[in-house]
Amino acid sequence: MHRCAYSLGFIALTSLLACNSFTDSTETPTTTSIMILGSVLSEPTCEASVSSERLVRGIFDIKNVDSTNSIGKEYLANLVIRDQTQTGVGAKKLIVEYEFAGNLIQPTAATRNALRDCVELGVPFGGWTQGDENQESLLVSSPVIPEHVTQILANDPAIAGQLHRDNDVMNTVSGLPGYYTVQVKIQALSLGLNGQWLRSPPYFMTIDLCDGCLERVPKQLVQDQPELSCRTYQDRIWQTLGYPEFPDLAAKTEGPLNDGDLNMPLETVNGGGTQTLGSLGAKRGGRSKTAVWLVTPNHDGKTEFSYAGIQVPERNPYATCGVGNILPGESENCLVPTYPKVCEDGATPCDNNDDCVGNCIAAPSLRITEEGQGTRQFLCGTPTENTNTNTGTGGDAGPGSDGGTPPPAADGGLPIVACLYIVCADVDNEVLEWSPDPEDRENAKSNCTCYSEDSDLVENGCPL
Amino acid sequence: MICRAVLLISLAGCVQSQQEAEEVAMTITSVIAGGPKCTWDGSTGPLLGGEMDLISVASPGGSIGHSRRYPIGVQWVLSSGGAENEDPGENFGENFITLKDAEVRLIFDDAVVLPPTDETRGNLPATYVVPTMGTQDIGTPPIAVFDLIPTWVAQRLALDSQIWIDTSSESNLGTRTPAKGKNYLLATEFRLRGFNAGGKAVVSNWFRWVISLCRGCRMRFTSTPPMRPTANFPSFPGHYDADMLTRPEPLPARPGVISWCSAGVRNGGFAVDVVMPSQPLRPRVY
Repeated sequence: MHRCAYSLGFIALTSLLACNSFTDSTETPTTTSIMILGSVLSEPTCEASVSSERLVRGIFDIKNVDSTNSIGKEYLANLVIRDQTQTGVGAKKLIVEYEFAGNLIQPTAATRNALRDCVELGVPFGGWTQGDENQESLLVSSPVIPEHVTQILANDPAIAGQLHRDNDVMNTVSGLPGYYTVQVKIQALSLGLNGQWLRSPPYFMTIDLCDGCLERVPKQLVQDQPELSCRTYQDRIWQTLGYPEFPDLAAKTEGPLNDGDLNMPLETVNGGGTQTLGSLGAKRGGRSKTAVWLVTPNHDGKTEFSYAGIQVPERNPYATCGVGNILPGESENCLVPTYPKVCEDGATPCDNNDDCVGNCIAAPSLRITEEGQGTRQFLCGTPTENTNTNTGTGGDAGPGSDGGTPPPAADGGLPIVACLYIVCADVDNEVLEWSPDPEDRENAKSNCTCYSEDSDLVENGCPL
Repeated sequence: MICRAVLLISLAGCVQSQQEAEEVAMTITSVIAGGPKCTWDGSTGPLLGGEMDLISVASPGGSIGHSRRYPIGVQWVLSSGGAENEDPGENFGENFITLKDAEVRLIFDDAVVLPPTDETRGNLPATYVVPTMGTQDIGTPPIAVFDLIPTWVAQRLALDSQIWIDTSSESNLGTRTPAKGKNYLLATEFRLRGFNAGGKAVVSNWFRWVISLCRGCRMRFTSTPPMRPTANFPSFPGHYDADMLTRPEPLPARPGVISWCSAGVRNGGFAVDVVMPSQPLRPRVY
């Protein structure tokens, strides 16, 4: 009988132990007298309170943590704890455990052994555990990933591989950094007035490790957020990128100052926040080029193509001029030929001397070749009263395509037609854009303007 | 005999405790946007649909970037309506819930789109668990943030030939290129899991969320085609280097704009995420 009783007791005890192992006794709360309600973000002043904004995801940037964690990084959690018994005395600490189940690749065996389940790490937290009057919630701060754990995690080869710690090109703000998720199970342990230990139910914090995701390179470009004096390496997940100031150029022209002028001025205005560079910068990177296209009428050498979403003549810009050292809000003028250049034979369109047997020179007029009528010459300007001007909406109609060619000028000179120019500053701005999306076109268009003596032609024929 | 009976009863008790049904104690009400700060503070309102850009997650030269995931923030309430207005700290009873993780399953059986290939489906588990955090806190609506699609799942989806066909178009030359207007509808379902104050496991309802997978609709690289960064290349994603800053016009390309919670995922942040993985300035010479 006694033997059976002993056996019964042993079996019952074994069964209960088995139950406990099945149900994971570590997740069984000791008491609900204290509870972890949540975690909060630090204010920009580095302070935190019970009413601070709740943290929904932790970030821990372990960049520069070496084999000994000589810089002493740790992840500090601000936890809101409800202490219903208002213990107020005794030792307090957090019991933490680390889980990595959210990752496809687990840490190495060495790390898992060092941080394995069922080995509780105690992290002390201090401070008065009684809240204010009628205020049972209080805030405690404690490193839930202390220095030595940071050292272990940062030196784990498997985690380092997932974080791509050997390649930091993408790992900084605004890249596509690697992350490794650690879930920290936290229980608060406190000593009650009667000497009884009180253990809270578990609270789970999810923290992403990264290597440089809260840093910028180069660092002098940090300008969209004020510098924080505390813990710049954790939780500041809201950073966006501020743009440095750059010049913003736009060009315009009002055509030749006088009818028949072989050159016309272009004006390049800097509407940006900084000055364009001077001779030193120009020597290094080349001066900005303000360019001019002649869209209408069709003329010798003109073909169509799309550039940055804008239909412009391929052979053009038929002229460019360099600009530089323009202060914000100021402008610079330069002269460009009124008509596309020709070789010295007066008939062959050219860009430079390489296109000619002789020299490539400014043309005195516009050359238009029409089937059956041969090549004729025109001047750009305000057409005379009886002149048939080109007002087609397509913007490409030449003088002969709308029912007739302009008659000779009253003074017996060359006939005058309305010409449509596009001038653009800084068109290379778009060279790196992947596709001519609408917003890109809008951006490109902001650098350009159309000009013609005929306002209707500008309104209906400008391709911008 | 008595000993055997006690033993059986004890073991039966263990089995019974293990087979106890999970209580559906939470209800997921909506998906909210992370907002420009990625804090899910509710300032940008709920999302009505999901969108994720798979461009260059998997490419012949290797994926660009180290992670591409779909973080999601969901708002939840207690299923028992009467307890919603109570101060949860007043009495830590059965209604106080601490979240631990979320269980996710991908649904491929909808007839709207063809399912991924068998190979892809074989490489994806029936369900997977991702960690989350949060409690039924005081004063603020509880929000749970987790990776609905972790990087390793995104990579498998990006490698799937059926999804590739549905997110690309064929050119005149017979080659297929990403088409940002084409989408693959991926239905997902997830539920939150956690414990109440008594230590009992509780779950939420299964919540369905449909994600429109695309290539190039939300992310843009400043090189064509996007190139994998090379070591020691004088360029940084999303930054100007010193040379760019001293460069005159033409302007450098604008730096990348990506927030922690976006990176190709619509989360109430930027309209388009831009990254500059490799390309330096190449001034055009007239």
